[in-house]
Amino acid sequence: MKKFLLSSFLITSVLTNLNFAQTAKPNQAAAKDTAAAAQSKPQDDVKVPFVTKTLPNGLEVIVLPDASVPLVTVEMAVRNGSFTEPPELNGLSHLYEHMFFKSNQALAIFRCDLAKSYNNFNYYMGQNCAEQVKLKAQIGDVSYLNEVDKLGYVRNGTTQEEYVNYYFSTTSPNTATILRTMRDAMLYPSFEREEFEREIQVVLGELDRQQAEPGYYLDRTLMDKLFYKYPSRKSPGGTRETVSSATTEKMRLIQSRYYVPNNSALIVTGDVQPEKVFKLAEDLFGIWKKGEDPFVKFPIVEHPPLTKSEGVIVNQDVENVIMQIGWHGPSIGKDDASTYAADVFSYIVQQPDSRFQRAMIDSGLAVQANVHYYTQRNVGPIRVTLVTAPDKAKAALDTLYKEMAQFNNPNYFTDEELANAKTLLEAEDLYRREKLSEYTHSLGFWWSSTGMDYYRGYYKNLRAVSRDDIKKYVSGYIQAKPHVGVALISAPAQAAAKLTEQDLIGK
Amino acid sequence: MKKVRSQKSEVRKFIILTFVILSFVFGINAQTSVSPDKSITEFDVNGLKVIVKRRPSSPTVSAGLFTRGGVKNQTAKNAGIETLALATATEASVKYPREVLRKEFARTGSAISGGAGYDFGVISLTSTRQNFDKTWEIFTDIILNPAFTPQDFALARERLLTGLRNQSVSPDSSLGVLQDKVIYANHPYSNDPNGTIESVGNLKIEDLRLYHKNLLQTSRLLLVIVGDLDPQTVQKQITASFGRLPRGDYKEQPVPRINFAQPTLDVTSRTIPTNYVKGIFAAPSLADPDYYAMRVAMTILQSRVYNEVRTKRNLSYAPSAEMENNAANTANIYVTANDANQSINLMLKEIGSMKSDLIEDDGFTGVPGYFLTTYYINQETNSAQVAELARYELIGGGWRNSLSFLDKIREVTAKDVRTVSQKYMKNIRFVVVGDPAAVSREIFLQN
Repeated sequence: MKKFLLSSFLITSVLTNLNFAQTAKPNQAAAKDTAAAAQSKPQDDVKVPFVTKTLPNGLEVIVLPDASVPLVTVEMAVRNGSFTEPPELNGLSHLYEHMFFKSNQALAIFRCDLAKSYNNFNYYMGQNCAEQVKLKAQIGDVSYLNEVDKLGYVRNGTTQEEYVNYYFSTTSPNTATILRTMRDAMLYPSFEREEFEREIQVVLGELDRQQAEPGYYLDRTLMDKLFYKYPSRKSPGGTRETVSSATTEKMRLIQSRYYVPNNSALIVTGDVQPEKVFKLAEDLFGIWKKGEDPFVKFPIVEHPPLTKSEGVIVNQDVENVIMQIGWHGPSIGKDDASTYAADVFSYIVQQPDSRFQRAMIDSGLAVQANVHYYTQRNVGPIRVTLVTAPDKAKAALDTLYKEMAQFNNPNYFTDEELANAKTLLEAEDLYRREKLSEYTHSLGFWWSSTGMDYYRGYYKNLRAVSRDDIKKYVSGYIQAKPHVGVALISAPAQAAAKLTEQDLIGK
Repeated sequence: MKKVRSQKSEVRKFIILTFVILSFVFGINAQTSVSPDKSITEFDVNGLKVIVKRRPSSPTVSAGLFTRGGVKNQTAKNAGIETLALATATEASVKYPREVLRKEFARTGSAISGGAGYDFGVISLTSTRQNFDKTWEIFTDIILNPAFTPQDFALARERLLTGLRNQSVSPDSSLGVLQDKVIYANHPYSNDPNGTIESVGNLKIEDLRLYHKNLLQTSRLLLVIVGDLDPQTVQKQITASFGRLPRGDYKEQPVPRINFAQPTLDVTSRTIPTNYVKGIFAAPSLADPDYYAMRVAMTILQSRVYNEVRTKRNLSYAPSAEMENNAANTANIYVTANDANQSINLMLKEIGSMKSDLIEDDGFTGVPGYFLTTYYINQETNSAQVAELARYELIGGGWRNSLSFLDKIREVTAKDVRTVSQKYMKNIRFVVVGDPAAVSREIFLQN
């Protein structure tokens, strides 16, 4: 635990919500793939100077050049994650992500070549190298693997509801080699059974860690209640059962459905020249065959709306109380206007001098109070979060519901606060962009959940958000809408505070 | 590999601007020197050491006014006072009430915040280049004339207390609490920078005022600024703002080493799905010549424990080996595992191997490149550069040492790695949160 919190030096404190403010249009990439093929498209909005190009196979290449430091970050983003997972596949996008950096065919060829050069015939025969090396015609020369370990890269991957990503950061002279490394991991995974069985245990260890955190139970309860018919679609980690029983065949299934160029994006940021990156991308990824649009054959589910409000108390061994009220929010592609309004509204009520913060924080009722919308292609949740001491929980909830009843009062926020919210969102992006190796993932997140056209127009559309837009958002998604209220509190504190499930839904 | 990104609450200090007129200054002793790479300038304003790094075309500016001493400045009774004083100070100044400050920061997207750690504290500023001048005025007024109103104090204290109440809830943070209690016993670091519920609960606003007043001596302050700023212009601004502060005669006292005379094992029993384990050992500080060899050694150890515990034997999702950056420094091995004994046994064997054998050439493959990459990753933001320059200046023998980091890493030999492994990776003190029955004293205390 780091004790030294240089809070403004950890820019995250200034940037938090943007990462969750994104969404996706189902067929956006597919619709424009051929039309936009081989045409470099300059960014309209000068604020985020990325350029894109869609290859003939549908792979979208996104480049954000910035030579502030001699680094490059290369990311592959895939529209995969729990939103594609029925219960029997829940958690397997995540398991696939773990397998990404394991063995692949290029590595197998490399090992066979090495075995041959050292006359290690046992290995050569045991690994069926005669067959492996035949793949050279397709994969190409793999001698670059001699160099990869010397590059000194940092790599990782993440899995979320609507987005899976893989990335390398290294110094910019290594751009071509790291792109090749990414290509071979993406196109030629081996899914070796022994490695796979071992990695299942590692993922189970990761689930153990998640389930050791009290906050996990708050989050899962809220999501499971909000998305009651298809909870697996909002649970990227999945379950121990599905992970334990996973097979390499299921990995191949995921690969064939989702790991196609027209469902993926290559994002390159840093000390690079876009035209050179586009050329490298064409040379390396041009052979990747376009597949079926996975969202045509396997459409995303329709989450049914809540029919009534429900309160749930989750007892864990905690000292404070954390309460979250959740609603179904807007979806990209269905109500984009409300997604912009949602972000602006969240930034109005988070301003410390806003009426909301004064009522909840300056009053001493809570130490944290915020409204957050998580932009998603398939129903982004809206959450109001309160953190306080247990003895203040009831009073804080009472005030919260009174405040929420006023959200559409014309005097609830000032014109200045409306303008400031937009400035804060823009400033946040500026600070975030400074950490380009991480901002790369924001671009991937935007691409996956919203498509880049949405992001191109994002700040322009934020600027256009009016009071009427916010009123429509609040009326359409929050006020008088069924919702779920969850409290994370210890059993003794709950009893002492007399906190009830009815309190959590404002009854 | 981690998955779902965590949602962090946003805590932002909004502050206000009014007019600050400090147009004349006297008694200024300003000497300027420029670093070999010409981008860094150092000067002195009436005893206040200032480091300015110019990053042409950077759209943002970061600055930090650092206070020397850290927890050495506090006692068990008033632990947490610097954290609370700096946090409260950033809420408002006498001239600029918090409502106005909050609006100004919402209008500009700037932020100011305060906090304290083991070795130093800081009030930090982040702004766009365009809004820097106004933000600077606010920053200086907050530092020189904080309001310390009862309401600001109450809110900042409640935030701190809420965090303290929560500090053992997560298994990882619970492990940290146990670690601090065991490792820092009878050491100045035992007075936690955030204090305790009792010590913070007993602090009065007058205590904060007095503490803050004593901080404002140029001999105990350091100012670091990074952005596209002209150093001469900045020097004038600093002179106008801080030129009249008293010098004082603060002398930094060395912090004693942490006790690693013998291996220990402490367990907090908790029913959770896995066991959280950390083994802590001594490490050289940033100012120590051994620092660079130890950084290389820990990087190699990290690679080895990951390979042995996770890749080969799938015992854990999260095995690691890391090194801290405190003046009284430590390093550690860490793992979460059901089979804690086997995991730790493997890790200790790797440590044993590093102490007995020279790292072969292929063990160094990628090390220079890795440090080069991570060095630049750590240089991406202005705020990270401020923190790096300050850390070297305050506890690393001077900011110029930061410029030779990569050269010193490249000079590290296999023999150096073995030497520091033998010197530091011993008498490991383990802390565990989880099932006591899963922990064998024989295995854990074998080192």
